[in-house]
Amino acid sequence: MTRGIPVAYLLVALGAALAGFSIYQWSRAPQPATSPSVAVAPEAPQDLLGAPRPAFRLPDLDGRPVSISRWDGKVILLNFWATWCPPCREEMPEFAQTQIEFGARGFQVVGVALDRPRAVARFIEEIGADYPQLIGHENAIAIADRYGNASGGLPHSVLIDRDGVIRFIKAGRLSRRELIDELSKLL
Amino acid sequence: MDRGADYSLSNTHRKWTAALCILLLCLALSAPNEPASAQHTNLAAGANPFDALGKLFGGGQPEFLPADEAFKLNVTTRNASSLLASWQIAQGYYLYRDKLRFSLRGNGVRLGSAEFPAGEMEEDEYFGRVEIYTLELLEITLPLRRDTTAARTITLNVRYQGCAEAGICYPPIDKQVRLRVPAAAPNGDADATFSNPPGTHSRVIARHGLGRAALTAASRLARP
Repeated sequence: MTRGIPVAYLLVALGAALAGFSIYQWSRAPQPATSPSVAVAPEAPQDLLGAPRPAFRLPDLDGRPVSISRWDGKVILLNFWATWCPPCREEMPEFAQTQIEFGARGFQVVGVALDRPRAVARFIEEIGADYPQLIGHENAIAIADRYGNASGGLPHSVLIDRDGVIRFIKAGRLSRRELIDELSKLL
Repeated sequence: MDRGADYSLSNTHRKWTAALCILLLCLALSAPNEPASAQHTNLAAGANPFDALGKLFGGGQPEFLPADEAFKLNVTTRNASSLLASWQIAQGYYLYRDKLRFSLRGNGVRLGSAEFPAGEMEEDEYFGRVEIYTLELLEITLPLRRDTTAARTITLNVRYQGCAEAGICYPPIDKQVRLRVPAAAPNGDADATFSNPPGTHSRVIARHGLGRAALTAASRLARP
């Protein structure tokens, strides 16, 4: 008798757990959002989300070395680009506009150009983008890689929150709408 | 008496068990949203659990290939008087014709004019009309000018650059390929002296990546 009760408990609890698990699985089935996200995004960038931003230092357009920590406390859009990259050139005027609109709220665009300083200076003057630019070569490719650029292609954009944590990574063109959607979570 | 007591005890336990069962069911029913949204947050790095749904139904990020997978280069010795450079271009990717560069280091062997197939003309907002290759297999014949008929080991430098149609472009890629070129017949019949099967000598010996020179060249090419 005394042995019968715990067994009954166990069976009922097991049954309940099974029923609960089945219902849980069933209720998950019509929400397929998570697994496709895994499929469409490379693994390395996913691992970086929520991680502290890697430290680096690159020269600015005047050749002075600048650390990314200069903008600590701001929400940073770190954009890797080059003048020979058409999708990069397309998105930059929108970044400049977003900088003007959200700069006062603590938003800062920082460009990292894999390019020659003269070509960079000419292009940013042409489009009126006056946010800071850092210049790199092989070292900038290595930095982009540490910021989740799995393919090595450009553009590559990363949003860093006020605490220096990576919150969003985008390979390819970042639309203004997507940028503002992401910014609204961080500003 | 004992049995009756046992029975009533058992009934009490059954009630508790039923209550526990209902509680567990309730917990199970309320559980789904929690793990799902936690996973969303982890994957999409957003507090909003609908982010991943948004990505699925529109804003999904395409996964881009590394350049070496998007553009697979192979160079072979066709015969004593020509090489064949070929690229397997992944679907959705393209190479720029005007950014293809070949140069050769070899004692007594020089490059003639490369024979490019016709590409597709594209209108680029910044660069104007550009010729691109979207072919699955791009083959370019590289004629050799021989100052010597002796077999030679040569090093071919190849530079190329391309993009993915979905919106990324790769820095210029530099490769060095070492090849053995067979002896040429003194009468100029190069094919007759070819003794090694094509493809056996192609070996990419270094990837320079994005050098300062490559950047400079690319920027110059890109200058509007």
